[in-house]
This record gives sequence, structure tokens and C-alpha cells, in this order.
Amino acid sequence: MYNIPSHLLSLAIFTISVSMHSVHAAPFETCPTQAFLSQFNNGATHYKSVDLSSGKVTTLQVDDGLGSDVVNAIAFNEADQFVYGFNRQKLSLVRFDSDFKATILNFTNPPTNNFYVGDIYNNTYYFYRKNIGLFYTKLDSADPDYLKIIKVTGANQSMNIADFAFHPTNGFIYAVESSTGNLYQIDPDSGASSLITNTGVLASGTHFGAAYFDKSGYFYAVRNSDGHIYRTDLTDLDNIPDTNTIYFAKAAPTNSNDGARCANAIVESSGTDFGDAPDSYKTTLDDGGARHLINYTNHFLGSTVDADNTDDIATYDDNANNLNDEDGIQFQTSLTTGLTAQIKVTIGGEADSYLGGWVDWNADGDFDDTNEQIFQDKLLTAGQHNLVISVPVDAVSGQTWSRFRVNSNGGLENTGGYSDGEVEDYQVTITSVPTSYLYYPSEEQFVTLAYEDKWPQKGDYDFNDVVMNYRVTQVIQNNKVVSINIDGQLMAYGASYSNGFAIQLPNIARSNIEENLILLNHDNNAIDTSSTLELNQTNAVFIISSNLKNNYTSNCGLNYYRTEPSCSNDSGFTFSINMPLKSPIELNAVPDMPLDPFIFASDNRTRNDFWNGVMPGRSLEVHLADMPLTDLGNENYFGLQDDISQSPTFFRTALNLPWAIEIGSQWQHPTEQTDITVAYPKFLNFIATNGEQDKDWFDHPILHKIFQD
Amino acid sequence: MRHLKSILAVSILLISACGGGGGESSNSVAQTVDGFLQPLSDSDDSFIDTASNNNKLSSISALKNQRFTASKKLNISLIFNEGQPCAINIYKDYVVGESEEIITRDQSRIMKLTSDNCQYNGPLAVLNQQSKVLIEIIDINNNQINYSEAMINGDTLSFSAI
Repeated sequence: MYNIPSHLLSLAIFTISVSMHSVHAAPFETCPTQAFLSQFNNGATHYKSVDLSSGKVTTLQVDDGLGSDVVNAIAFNEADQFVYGFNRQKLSLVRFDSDFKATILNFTNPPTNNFYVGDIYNNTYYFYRKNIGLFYTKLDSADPDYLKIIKVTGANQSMNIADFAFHPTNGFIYAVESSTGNLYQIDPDSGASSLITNTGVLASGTHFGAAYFDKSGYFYAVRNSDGHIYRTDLTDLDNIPDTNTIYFAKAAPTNSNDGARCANAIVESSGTDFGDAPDSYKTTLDDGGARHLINYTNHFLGSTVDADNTDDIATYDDNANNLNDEDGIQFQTSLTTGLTAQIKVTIGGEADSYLGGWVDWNADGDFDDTNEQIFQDKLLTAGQHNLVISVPVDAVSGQTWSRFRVNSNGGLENTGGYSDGEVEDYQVTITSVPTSYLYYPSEEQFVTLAYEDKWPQKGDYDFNDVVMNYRVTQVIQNNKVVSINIDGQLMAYGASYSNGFAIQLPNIARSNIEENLILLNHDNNAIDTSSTLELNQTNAVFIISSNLKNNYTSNCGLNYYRTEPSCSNDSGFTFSINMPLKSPIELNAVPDMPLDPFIFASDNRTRNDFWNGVMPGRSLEVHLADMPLTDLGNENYFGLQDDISQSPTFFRTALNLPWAIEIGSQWQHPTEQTDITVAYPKFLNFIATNGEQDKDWFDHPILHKIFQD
Repeated sequence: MRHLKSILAVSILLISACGGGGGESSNSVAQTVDGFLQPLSDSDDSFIDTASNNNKLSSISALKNQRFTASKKLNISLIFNEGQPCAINIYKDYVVGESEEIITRDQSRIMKLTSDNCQYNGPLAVLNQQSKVLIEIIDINNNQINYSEAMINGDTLSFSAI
């Protein structure tokens, strides 16, 4: 009888075993972005994923096939895409497939002690325990030292650490000590350690039970007691910042914790709501900014919440470019130094939520100063709440930012990620004297200005040559108007001619404008205002744009914008202007709304046939009916062609029809060359009854005759 | 270019006209698989009348005093809260629920006033189509809110407490 050598028999059984198990033992398919945790709960080791961006923890497996065995020191092996860990009861290595089902791998030289700190680099599993030392074993089955435990002689054995992680590029191990916050760098070859920084974060009485790296070189440590995830910047080890560690996100607290992660995966966010304040307030993911995994059912502010890109901050208009979800906070009163103010908070969904709130009272670009937290984990039921805050007497007057957050569990900081909730950032104005506002047509809505630009020839009456959304805000202090602010959005440009857009303030002298304080934004960016307040004018006239065609981009024929249904457009144009007054004026001295917005011919540009090649330039103005020219408008053009202007009647045809109209809504204009009465038949009766009937004519379009995105 | 577009449009119409001449009611034509021609009507599902209504703005004359602006100015006098400090907000859009709860459309606020004596005397621009506004009086010291609905009659407001 032929006897099979025992070692060959073992190998054959092992091979069969592996091949049978491999049907189910699939490795992880890629280098996963989520981190992993092992936690011992209810008599078994549970395995969970952690979204480092938000701290969301998801249970992946509660039955690893090992019964009540405790598995610790888990680590992700990029060489074979399996997770490995140390089995406390069997004192063996354990390999986990992508379902976290275990395969026992016995060491060829089994240890005596249990180990709970481990990570993998270059297909080698390193593990450590205080006062015992640093060890490793090879995970390549072809390696002669496969599953053989080898001790790193001379290693520092005094570090009180609960997990460590390999840097993705330099091959060193890093760990943060719970009791001191010291961050150590460990050489895996010599075991020598060096203190490289102090994180400033402690885990007294508990541990940093899980440690991870990401591809950029950020080190993450999870504190067991509260689930706080801290991030330390080790992206440039030669230049570690003084403030190197930030609170990053909140995971679930636990009594036991160990972590594993593919260090070459980036940390990314998806389905996440971010704030909108400038990044000095920590808004983006890179800066550990305020963010929440969104939940459309509960724990949000206002009517809804949407996911954002991490870099959509400050000048980006979240509401305009996405769902109108920044709607949960309303400042019911002005924010005046030394006075109280009321804020209406709307909790969406049906569940109670915790509210946190901050205002940057000293306008230094953060929410970290004393008294800048105005709400701390305030538990609110779903619905509206009117909350009162106190504006510090030393708050800095002017514009600043505020941040409001809600979630289900509280513990809200002004930065960092949470696994549910919403953050809304608001730019607010603090005044030193009580300030009031009159809005036209309202605080966030617009009227529409629509122009025909062939004056003094009548046009095709599609009223889409220039279409502008338009809003006026009067700022009032001590019962007088101190500033007039206007916001606008170009909604259509259906003209081949070049037109500028300007606003005249009738009966407000140019000399009464505080010219140095004019603020004009184009697309949320401040522009040079040296020529905004027009020279040689008696009244104040503000040039918003000298040629609107330069303010948008379009791929439509003749560079039209939003007038032809068959072509799309690349970008629009918005503006806002603050027009501060040197001497505040009485409320009744403010010109009637909508003031006097007008278009004018751009210089050095040809116009319609009437001009026969002459370029009238700035002297050609087109106003709303019966509004006067500015000083720079040429009154010699009055009465030409189809115009019958004669004071006090201006800009009307012989049929008293205008070249410009104001519509009391955010209007959907007619498509190119569609007469307004074709698109809006009730406009005829509105005119026929002198405006007494069909006052809402603009709400009744023929849908296929108007422009629709 | 606009002239060119017009010429092209006219040409297309002429070509279409050349192809016409037959009526819709001829019964002498052999029946096809879908039966006789049945003209669409405005009430048919999914039917969109793409024809123009042939309206023209230039066919109508407006009165000389016809306004083509969207608002009118009211001069209003408000006093609330027994002359004690308050904030007054006025909204153009709001909902009064069945149990008389008030839901304001915050983006539609047209006035936001802080007043030592809870008074306002001055102008208010309202859109022509507006028939009423909601006035919100906030007693900040006592964190209380009261509402008053005001109807716009000509150039004046008339109030009713809610």
C-alpha cells in the first residue's frame, strides 16, 4: 500500500478546501471608499462600513461564521482585496471575503497573546500590542514566511494605541495615542517610533479604536466613546500644519472598535447636502465642512433638501441652480446690535429634530468665537418655530454669515459631517441702528421688464428683445431711505442689436449718491464701479451693462438667448447693485416703482434699418411708456418714424402702444417673432378695457407660443 | 435676417397652399384602413392647436393714459401693539388654513419693519393684480405674533384681524 506523505495530504485537503470555499469567498471588487469597522456586540463580532464623509455607519454582517469569537486588528489588503483580522480565541489570522464571511488561517508558529492593533502594507500583515511588541506575517502564499509570525526586534513597545494605519505612499505606520493625543510615526522595519505632532484631541478613558488613511494622505481616527471622526493632515509630512487635526464627522459611539480601509481610496461624498458659506467657515469636504447625508423624509429645514457638490459655495446660488431647498430659516426682524431678533425656523418632515445655529458676529470668517453659537442642540418638533436671539452689542455692522443645522441625534458642531439632517447657510446684514426694508415686488420675487429695441420703429411686438427680471429693495433707517438696491436676471435676449441696460432714479440727484460705496455685482462677482454712476447726468443714472450681449453666452443663431425653442444656452446673466444715498431721503421722495429702468444702444454698434448705418450709441434710449429721457438721451429722436413722444407722453406709437412693458410676475415671454397677443390673448382685452379687466393676462399663455426651458 | 425669415415662412405657406384644393368631406374616396378622415377638434386628447390666433397688438389702440407698468403706490398708516416696540412684516402671498392658522410665503414679503412704536406711515408699492396683503405684527419682547389681513381697495387698505 502506498502511503501518501502527511504533508502532501494536508496540502491536498487545503487545496480542495480553498477551491470549494472560493466559490463564495469573493474578494472586494475594488479598492472601496468606505472604511470598515469590527465591533463586538451581543456575543458576536459585527462588521460595519463607515462613510467617512458623513459618519454614516451601515451594518454589513453580524454572522461571520465564527460564533462568539472576537476579531480585532482588522486590515484591508490591497494585494488580494481581502480584509484580514486577528481571532482572539483561536489566536489565528482570519481572512474575510466581501460578505465578511471568515476563513481561518492558522499561523505556522501560533502566538500566545491576543493582538488588537493591525494593518497591512505590501501584502504583509503587521500587528502590535503594548509591552509585547511589533510583529508581521507574510500574506503571499508563495512566500516562504507565509503565515509565519516574525517579530520586529527593537520596536517601541510603550505606545498606548488601539489601532494604527499605513500611510498610502511612504510606507510608515501612524497611530494616535489615546491618553496624550500624540501622533506617532513607526518604521515597520526597525519598529522605531517618533512623535511627529500632537493632534490636540484626546480619548481619555476610551480609545481611538479605528485608524484609517485616504489616498491624499489624511489620517482619520475614530473615538470610541462618541463616534467622533477626527482628521489629521499628513498630506505633506515635511510641512504638517500647526492646526493639523479637525473634527470631520460623527459616527456611532461604541465600546469596541477596530478599523480597516483601503488607504489608496479617496474619501468622497455622494447624496450629501453641503453649506454655501465661503470656505473660511469650513464648507467643503476638503476642509471637513458642514455636511449631511440627506434623508428626504425627516430631519431637514424647510420644505425639502437636496444633494450638493462639495465646491458649490459662496457666490454659487444653490437655490437657483438646484432645488429651492434653502428655505428653512427666515429672519423675521432685522439684526440690530444690542437688540433681540426673531428667527422663524421650519423643521421639515414629521420627526423631532435637533437644531444648531451660529452667526459670525465679529465677521472674522468663522463661527468659532465665544457667543457665536446661537442655538445648541435645540430639540424642535416638525413645523414652524419663532425663536428669539440676542444680537451682541459689539457685533460688527455689515454683512456676515450664519449657519443652521438639524439632525436626528444632536451633538451638532458648526463643521463636520452627520449621517442625516441638513445645513443651510445664510448671508445676513447686521446694522447698528434699526433697519427696515421695503421690497418690490417682494423680498425674493421679481417683476419682469420686456423691451422692443427697434425704436423709433415699432417692432414685432414679441417683447423679447430684452427681458429682465427685476426687484427693488429700499433700505430704511430712522424713517428715511438710506439705500436703494436692485437685483436683476436677464431672462431673454431676442435681438441682433447690442443693448445696454441702465436705471435712472428720477428726482434723485446724482450728487446725492455715495459713489464710493456703490456695489455692483455681475453674476455674484463684484465689478469695477468707476463708471457705474454715469457722468453728466442730473438724476442718478446707473449703468448696469453697456452691452448685455457681452454678459451671457449662447450657441443660438445671432447670439439670441432663450427666445428660440430649438437651441440651448450656456449661461445667463444676473446683477445686483447697491445705490447708497449721501443724504437719506423721505419715503415719499422715492420715485414710484419700478423707478426708471431702460435699455440703450451700445456704442459703435449698428442698429435697425431706420438708422441706415448710423450708430446712435448711448444717445438712443428706450424707456417704459411716459418715462423721460436721461440727460444723455437725444430728444431729437422723439417724433421720428412710429414714435409720437411729446411731453408728458413718451415712447408711444400713434396707437399709444409702448416699446417696453412691466409685468407683475416672473413672466414667460413669447418665442421669437410671436406677437404678445398671440402668446397672451387676454392682453388684448386688458388694453381694450384700459387695464380694468384681465389684470392677470400674463398668467394665461398659449403654452406653445411662449419660451419654455 | 428677420426679413429673410419672413420671406421663407411666406414661401412655405405658399407651397402648402399649392398642394391644397381638396375638401375634407369627400365620400368618393376609397376607405382606408383607418376609415374616413375625421378632423381633430380642440377637445381631442393631446391635440395642440399650433395655428396662430392671428392676433396682433398693432391692431388695437390703447388709451393715452393706459399704463404699462405693474404696480400702484398706496399711502398707508399702520399702528399696532398699543404703540409698543414691534416688528411689522407684510406679505403678498399667504394661506389661511381651515383652523385659521397662517402660513406665510416668506419670499413674498414686501415690508420688513422694525419700529419703536409699532407704527408705519408711508408708501407701499403693490402689484396691480393684488387684492389683499397679510400684516404680521411681532411683539419681540413677548415673542408673540398677531396677524391682520388687509384688503386693497383702490389706493387704501382696510383691515380685518385674523
